[in-house]
Amino acid sequence: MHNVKSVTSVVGVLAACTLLWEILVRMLGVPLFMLPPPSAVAQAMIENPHIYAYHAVYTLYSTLAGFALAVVLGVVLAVAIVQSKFLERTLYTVLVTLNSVPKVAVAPLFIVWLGTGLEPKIAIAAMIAIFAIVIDLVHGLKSVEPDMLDLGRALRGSRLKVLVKIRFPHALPALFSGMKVAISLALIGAIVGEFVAAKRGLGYLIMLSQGQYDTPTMFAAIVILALLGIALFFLIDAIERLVLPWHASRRREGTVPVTP
Amino acid sequence: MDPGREAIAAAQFIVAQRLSKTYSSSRGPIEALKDVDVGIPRGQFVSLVGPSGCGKSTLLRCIAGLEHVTGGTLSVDGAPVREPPEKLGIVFQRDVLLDWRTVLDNVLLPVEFRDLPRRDWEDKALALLRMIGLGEFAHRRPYELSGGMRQRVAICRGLIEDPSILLMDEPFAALDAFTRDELNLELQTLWLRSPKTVIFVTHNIGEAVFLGDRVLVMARRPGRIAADLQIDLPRPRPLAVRETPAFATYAARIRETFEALGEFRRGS
Repeated sequence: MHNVKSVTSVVGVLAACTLLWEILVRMLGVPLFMLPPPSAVAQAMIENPHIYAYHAVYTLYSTLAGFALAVVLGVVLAVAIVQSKFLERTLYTVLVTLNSVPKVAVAPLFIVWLGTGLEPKIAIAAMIAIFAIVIDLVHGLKSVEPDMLDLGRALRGSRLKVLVKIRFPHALPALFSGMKVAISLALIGAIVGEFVAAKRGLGYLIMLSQGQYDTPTMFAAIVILALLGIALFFLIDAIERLVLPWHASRRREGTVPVTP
Repeated sequence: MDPGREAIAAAQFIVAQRLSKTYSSSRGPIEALKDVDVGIPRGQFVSLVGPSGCGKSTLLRCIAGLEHVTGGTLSVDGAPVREPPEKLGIVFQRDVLLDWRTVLDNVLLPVEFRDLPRRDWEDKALALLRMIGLGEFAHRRPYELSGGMRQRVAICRGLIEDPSILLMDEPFAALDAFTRDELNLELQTLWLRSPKTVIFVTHNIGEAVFLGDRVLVMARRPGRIAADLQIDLPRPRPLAVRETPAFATYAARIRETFEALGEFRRGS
């Protein structure tokens, strides 16, 4: 099958790169604090798994909480924007404009407003993630075929009926593609929050190890973050397959609606 | 209005009097329909045929309450059309099935829109699907069906509430010729079982004659009714009716009407 084949080749290429990295670092005698070989990174992880688990749980928690907040607020905002011409002209324009502001720069403000606990990390994660949700969902809600909306009108359906029965289900694939981007952005947001001020989390661990020139630990934390990001992405992908079987199978077979 | 005309109008189910529809555009107003006078009795199968831009879809959309007339009057069952009439079935050129619903759930969509109890309607939906040869596809999803099957589902959705009016806007235009013939026959069978007022928009002269009790020939710029033909061919009509002289005469009269209006000229 195509999938198995591509997974095998990806793993193969990654393994080859890791091996090359190990060999080059040893051959060239690169100091450990500059670039540790993969074996040293693995060793760091194996020696203190509980430390990484302790920090990863915190980061995972703020990522998921921020993501959940972004989904809830994003759905509410997108629906409001699509239902109101006024909000579309004002709020949506503002959101699209704000999206081009480097949101990382705003992160220190959240520390001022919300302190150094979990709340600012969740808020930063949500702030960075929400744009992807709103923009994709608004697009999905608006891209309903005019004939489909006419059908809803001909059936004398209220706006709520049309939203619940036609618009929203139609936009679910768009919502999921927004969510796939947003989950990675939420992880970035959580890390940014931990960089600015924290006492726990993988971002905090990276900053702490940097101060101690403990490069293997930094790499270990980065590897765990990467794995976390990949796992979260595929989690959303799996939920999408479960919730939208009609969409997933259509994509798999590469077929589009038959009618022109 | 003279009393005679009023009496005729009263006997009709759908009545348009001096109906006009003008769109405003950047290049000035466009008259999609101008002074359309027509009365359609209950239970008649009316084909609207004409080239693109003749306003046939606009007329259908006005009857559906999806467009507002800008001049004259339009009434269904004695009441002016201001919003979609009750018990209306509508089928578009695109099937607009909802991909996330099963075939059965698509057919039941109108029932859900009116908050009617689903249970009471499921048997009816299944019976309709069986009648049109889709009985065993009730629990499949639209993406598993061919274009012709999808359009059959759309027709079942249009008929689920046993509407008094069925509006069809070029429903078979996107299908291949064989599927189109099949669906013409099936539509006739369904209609003969439960005759309702059907407005069938098409740009295909043969299809208009084959299906219609009456063909309204439409002209463009401005959109109007150029001819009104009764089609007196016995029903049920087999596909072979299309090779009969009577059928050919009707088709020729429609073609001649278009020729007199200046259609088909550019090619010659």
